[in-house]
Formats: sequence, C-alpha cells, structure tokens
Amino acid sequence: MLNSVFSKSLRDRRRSLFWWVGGIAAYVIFLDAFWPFIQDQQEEIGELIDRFPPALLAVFGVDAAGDLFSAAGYLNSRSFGWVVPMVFTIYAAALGARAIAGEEEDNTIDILLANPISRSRLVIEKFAAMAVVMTVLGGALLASLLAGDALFGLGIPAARYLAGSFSAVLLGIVFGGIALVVGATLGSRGPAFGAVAAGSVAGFLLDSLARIVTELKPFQKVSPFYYYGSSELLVRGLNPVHALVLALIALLMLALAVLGFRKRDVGV
Amino acid sequence: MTSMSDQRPPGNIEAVVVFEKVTKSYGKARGVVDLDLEVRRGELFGYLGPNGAGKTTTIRLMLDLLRPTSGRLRVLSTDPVDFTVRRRIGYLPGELDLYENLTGEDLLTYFDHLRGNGSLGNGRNLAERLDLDLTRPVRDLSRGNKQKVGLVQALMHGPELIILDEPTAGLDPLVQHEVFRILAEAREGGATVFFSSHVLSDVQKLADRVGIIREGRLVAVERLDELAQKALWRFEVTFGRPVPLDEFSSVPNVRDVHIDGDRLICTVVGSVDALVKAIARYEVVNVVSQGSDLEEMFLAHYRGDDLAQ
Repeated sequence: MLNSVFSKSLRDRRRSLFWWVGGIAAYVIFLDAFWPFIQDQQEEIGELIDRFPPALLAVFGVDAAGDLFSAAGYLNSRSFGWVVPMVFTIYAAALGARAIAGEEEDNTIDILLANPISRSRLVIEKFAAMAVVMTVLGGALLASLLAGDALFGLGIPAARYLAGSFSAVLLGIVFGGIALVVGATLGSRGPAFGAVAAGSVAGFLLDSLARIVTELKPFQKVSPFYYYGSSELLVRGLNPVHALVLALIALLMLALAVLGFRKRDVGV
Repeated sequence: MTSMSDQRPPGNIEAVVVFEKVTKSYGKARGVVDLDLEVRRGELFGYLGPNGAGKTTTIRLMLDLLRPTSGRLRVLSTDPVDFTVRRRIGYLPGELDLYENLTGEDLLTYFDHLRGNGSLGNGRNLAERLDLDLTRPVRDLSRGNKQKVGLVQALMHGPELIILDEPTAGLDPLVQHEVFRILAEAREGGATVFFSSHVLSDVQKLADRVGIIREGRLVAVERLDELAQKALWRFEVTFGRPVPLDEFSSVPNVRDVHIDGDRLICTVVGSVDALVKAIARYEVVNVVSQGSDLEEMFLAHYRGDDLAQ
C-alpha cells in the first residue's frame, strides 16, 4: 500500500472510509426497513404531504406528493434527494481539501516533493485516490440498496439503484475536485472547505428552487445538482448526457488543480 | 572580508550547485537577495547564518519548493523545475514533519518506491548505525529519533548531492558525531554535501568551505581555516590569587580584558594558544570558555557596507 502516492492516499483513508461506508449502509437499511409501514399508511401520509408547500417539498427532492406513494418516490426523496449527495459532498470535500493542502498544512509536502515526482503527477494521483474512495463509497451504497430492497421488498429495478449510486459518485468527485482546486492553489484547507460548502448549498438551492420558480429556470443548469438529478434518479434512471457533464466538470477541476499547483511556491 | 572571486572554483572543477544573482522575495518574510553561490563537486559546504537569515529559503529554492523572483540557479547542471534531478538529491528539511501514522520502515518503503531504486536495505543499515528503531510509528518518536528518520531517508539512496537543513538539531552529541561520520563517508564516496547551521561549531566539525549568510545576503565564502581565524571565544579564568591586568592585555589575539580580583574575563579572536600559555604561568582554579556567538562574530567581521541598510 506504499507503492505510490495514489496507493498511500488510499491507505490513509482506510479507517475513515470504513465509518462512512458503515454509516451510509445503516442509513439505507433503516430507510428500507420502514417501507412496509409507509406502504400501509400511504393514504394518511399523502394527505399530510399535500398540506406542505410545494417549495418545501422541492427542496427535499419531492416533485409531487404522488411521488411518495411509490417505493421509488419514498426512497428517492429520503436518500438521493439530499442525504446521499450531502454525504458524498462532505466526504469528497474533506478528501479533496486534504490532498495537497493537507500535506502542506502538516508540513510533509517538502519531504514528499523532494522525491522525483512531478507536481502534476502528485495532483493526479491524489485526485485518482479521491475518485476511488468515492467509488468504493458508491459501491457500498449500491450494495446496501440492493440488500435493503431484497429484505424489505421495495421492488425497484437494480439498474435504478446503479444509476443513483453512480450519479452520487460523480457528484462527489465534482465537489472533491472543487476542494482540490482551491486547496492546491491556495495551500490551505479552510478555503477549500468554504468553497465546497458555499458552492454545494448554493447549487442545491438553485436546482431545487428552479423547479418551482420559473425565473430561476435558466440558471438551473449552472448547478451540478441539476446534472446529478436528485429528484428522478430512482424514478427515471440515469440521464447519460448529464452524467457525462458531471464527469467533464470533474476532469476540468483536475486540470485546474494541476495548473494551480504547478506554478506556485509550496509551503509558504 | 574575503573576496568572493578568490573562492570561485576554477573552470575544471564541476560546480554542483550554482546560484547566479538569485533573489527571492515573498510576503513580509525576507528571502535572499542577489545570491551568487557555487558549491563544488565532492565538498562539504557549510551554510552558516543566524535564524531567519535566508538559509532555508536558499535550500528550498534548490528543491523547486520555491521559485526565484529573479536570477538563475542550477542544481547538478539542471534547472530544479525538472523533477527528475531529485532522483540524485537527498534532502532533510529544517522543520521536519513526517507522516505521523507511518512507522520509520513504512516511510522508508514509501520513499524508496517513489525513487524506484531499491535502497531500503541501505536505509536499514543506516538506521542501525544511528540506533534507530524503525518499527515504531513516527508519532511515538522523540524529536531526535524523528531527525534520524529524516536523515536516513535523505541518505539511503546514495544521492550525489545531499542537502541538509540544520541536520544536527535535536540530536545528542554522540549521534551528531555518528552523523558527521556518515556524511564524511558519503563525501569520500563522491557525494557533495550542502548543510546549513546556525551553530559555528557544527560547521567547524564538518565543512571544507563555509558560506556565511546574513539578512538574505551572502556576506562571505571562506575556507574553514580562514573562518577559524575569525572565531570569537569568550574566556573566564579563575586563578588561585589576584592577577595583574597588564599581564594579559598585551597577549596576542586577546581583547576586552577585564580583571576582577582573581578572575580574568576576555575575548579571544582566532587562536587561543597565546592566552592558554599566558594563564599557565599562574595557578588556575577554573577555565570556562564559550564558543563563538555567531551574531557577535558577524558584527566583528562582516559589518560590511552591503549590510548597512
């Protein structure tokens, strides 16, 4: 596990990844376990939901109350609506911020860069490790969704779960990439976290409010959450064009991080 | 001040490190100003200066951690921006921090892979010589032992150029001695050693030539014997009975003589031989001598016009 910057970065994340995987698996199983009860009380819940303002429902990833009567609608609003993207975003931001800025704040960057490794390669390997950690978390999410479905009979096609998990991984890598860019360019983690916090909250609100405020509609496409597709992942599946857009944004972030790190003084 | 042009290596001696009019300014901190420096292949070059003089800046420029504001530098005939040159360099940072969760063995394994040259065995040998336990995590190591890990990783791959920022910091005298021996051996094996220190005695034990930096400027490059002529020693001698002042005020190399009853306090510049012979004529109860204070030495010798701003 100490063969390269890439593998060491994975090794460093073993412990934290274990807890994030455990957390997300427990959450998904917990949600699924409630499905049989929800199903029994569909009508009452429907009446309750109808009283909520549509704006609030939109923020929580529910397009229409009707969504909640299906297993996909129920699960989507409580997982891919905002909990899953939040979990992936926070963890990815931590990884992206730590990648370069963490080495700099820990003062290990000097001794690391004294080895024959280029700055570009360092950024690329750190990015790759972050993407792999996200993928493992996504795999764990998928596995627990499939297990929960089998246990509690939600009857959602496996392809939908795959679509949702894949999209969450992409969204995580995008925000991890943003943290990496800021951290690699400025050399400190604070601004990297700040950028992701501001960007993700703004992006999330923009995407969800644009569904009900027509004036915001033209700006919706600026938000990564639009391409993530929070409200429809389990209902309609993956939009391959949107997934491609997320992947391209992630690659753009990688390129910016390389540029930001290559040209500057380190550890000052 | 020794003219620096006298110290330029003749053309047939390869310069391993070359700074040409390098200036590095950043933020509020002073960097280096118009630095001209040449280190020859196979020498042990001491880089001496008080804390904050620009020693670390100079070293970090060599490793491309900092980029010069102006001027040109070459390390092993290569622009440091070319990372491949670092295959041939070993580096010990001044403020050393290592990966706390790795053991010494892990760290050496990791860097050995990054360098790709299978030098782990040599690393283990060096660790043994320094009596360093590689199985313990870095976070459990004392400052001295961390420093040893830092030294081992800097030396294990047999680099052509060894760059050490304050290598003896935190090491007890016995280990320092072993480190000096290892560096001397590396030099015999053809390596060039560039090391910084703010302690004159370190430099005296090890260096062939010494560059002296103060307030970001290189004020002199001298051979060690030239430097020894300028070393200041403060002496405090207690005699068995009071001694006359004029007996000592005329002793060669001695200045600032004070007599206080049976005690003599004075400063010696360069050789202490004359003073030792002079005091030997009386009954000596105690002798305390303090090595050169670097700042004092600078004030005595290098208060050149270029520093007068």
